[in-house]
Amino acid sequence: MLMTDSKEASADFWNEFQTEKESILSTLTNLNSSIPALKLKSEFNTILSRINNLEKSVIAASIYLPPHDKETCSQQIKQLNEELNKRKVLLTPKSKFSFKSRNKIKKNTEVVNNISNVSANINNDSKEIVNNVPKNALQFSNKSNTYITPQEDIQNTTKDVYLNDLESCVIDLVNIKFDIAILQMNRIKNCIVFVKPIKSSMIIDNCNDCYFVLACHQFRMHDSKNIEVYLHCSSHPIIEDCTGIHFSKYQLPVSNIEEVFKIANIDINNNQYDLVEDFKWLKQQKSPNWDIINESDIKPLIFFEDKNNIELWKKTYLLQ
Amino acid sequence: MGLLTILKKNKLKEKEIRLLMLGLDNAGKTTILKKINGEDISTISPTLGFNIKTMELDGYKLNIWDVGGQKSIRSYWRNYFEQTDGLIWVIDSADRKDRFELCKKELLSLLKEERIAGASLLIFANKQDLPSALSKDQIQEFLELDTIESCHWNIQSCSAYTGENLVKGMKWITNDIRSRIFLLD
Repeated sequence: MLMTDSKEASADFWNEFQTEKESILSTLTNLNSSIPALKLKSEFNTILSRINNLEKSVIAASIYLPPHDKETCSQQIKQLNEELNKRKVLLTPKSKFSFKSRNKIKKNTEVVNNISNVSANINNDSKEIVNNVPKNALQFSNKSNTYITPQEDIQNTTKDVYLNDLESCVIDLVNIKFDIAILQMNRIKNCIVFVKPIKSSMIIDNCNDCYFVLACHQFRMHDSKNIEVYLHCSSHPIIEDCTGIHFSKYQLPVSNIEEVFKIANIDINNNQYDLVEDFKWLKQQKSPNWDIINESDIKPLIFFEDKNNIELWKKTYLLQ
Repeated sequence: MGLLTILKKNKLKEKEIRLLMLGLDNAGKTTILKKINGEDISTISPTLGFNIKTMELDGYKLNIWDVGGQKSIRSYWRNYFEQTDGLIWVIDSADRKDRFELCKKELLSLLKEERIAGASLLIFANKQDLPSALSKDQIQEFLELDTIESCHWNIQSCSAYTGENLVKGMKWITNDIRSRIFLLD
């Protein structure tokens, strides 16, 4: 870099630095206790990030800044930080108590959520674009006390399957002539669900008191409770906001078990059903929200001849 | 020569771009990352935390941060905002309605974030290989992307499973960032 360039640059930098510094200082001085705590907190955060940016700009400019300027700049940044902390202590005396600040963060996100709720409501028209479940998907919904299995004529294709709002049903997705890419289950109660290995991932939300037999690449379960899952999963299964989830190994009484795994491209020898991760449990100790079913409590899988006898299915499979 | 020019020059020297990849859980973020990198995608676990990958594209070094999308860890997204040049928002194009709405809500609140306000936004309409996937036009309409004025954006349909259009999307965001930051190129 030419000498003149470097001089000019450092002079420019110095001016811009001082302007920003003064601006930060005056913003700081203008903060007072009449500002609501929430707003104050975000103001402080903004100022902190401005100071950080200023510091970064000094580091970036340090290639050409004269040593004296550099030193002065870092001194002034230090002063800015001190001033910020002083004002923080002065205006939020209780902020040392960590629970308080957590609450504030929570409130903060609530505000954001409310705002977006409003904007989502305004735009009601656009909701039509997205259907409750995708158009081409195979969906079973709003049924009770029914034995459900897809019609015979669907075959030799791959389908995305959605089950929602089912109560006291038996859902048989084993003896089917098509493959399943993804499976989503939402609001399923007191149901027994058998599924042959699927090609991709599954999501299970808001389900309770069920018996599931599932095999997939990725397993995610949210907001559910009291469920027995006989699972084959080639990655770590995830639970979040769940309680009373009991896992065991996948079992399926079909003769061509290896073939159905192969079609779904799942390694039959890699089952991580017992390596569940609970996103709502951060401690070292094992999460109390899930466990592995004892050998002696495993319910052997039997398909009944009398398929429509829902009571018999429920008596056999569901937790009492 | 002003401060901005100096900063831009400095960035140019590094030729480094920081990309942040976010989206709901099960959108396929990690699969996209691994597929681009030519890794095996058959045993990916849901992300508990984050992954970083560095790749070269058009002479630029891309640092891609893939942060988990589960509900309980979305509040940590903000910890990754600093110094982000581009945001990649990944969508499961075959998701159900309430999750699409959630996706829209999360994206809207991200766009209000000051620290990523200027970043280029690439939206991957992922999982186009699925039989029930929505098209990128439908998603664009639903998310009302046309109302976004705060940043440069682009929506790209893709499939992390087949790899289709992944590089195309990455090229768009790299070019957009380049024209924004690396003016002197």
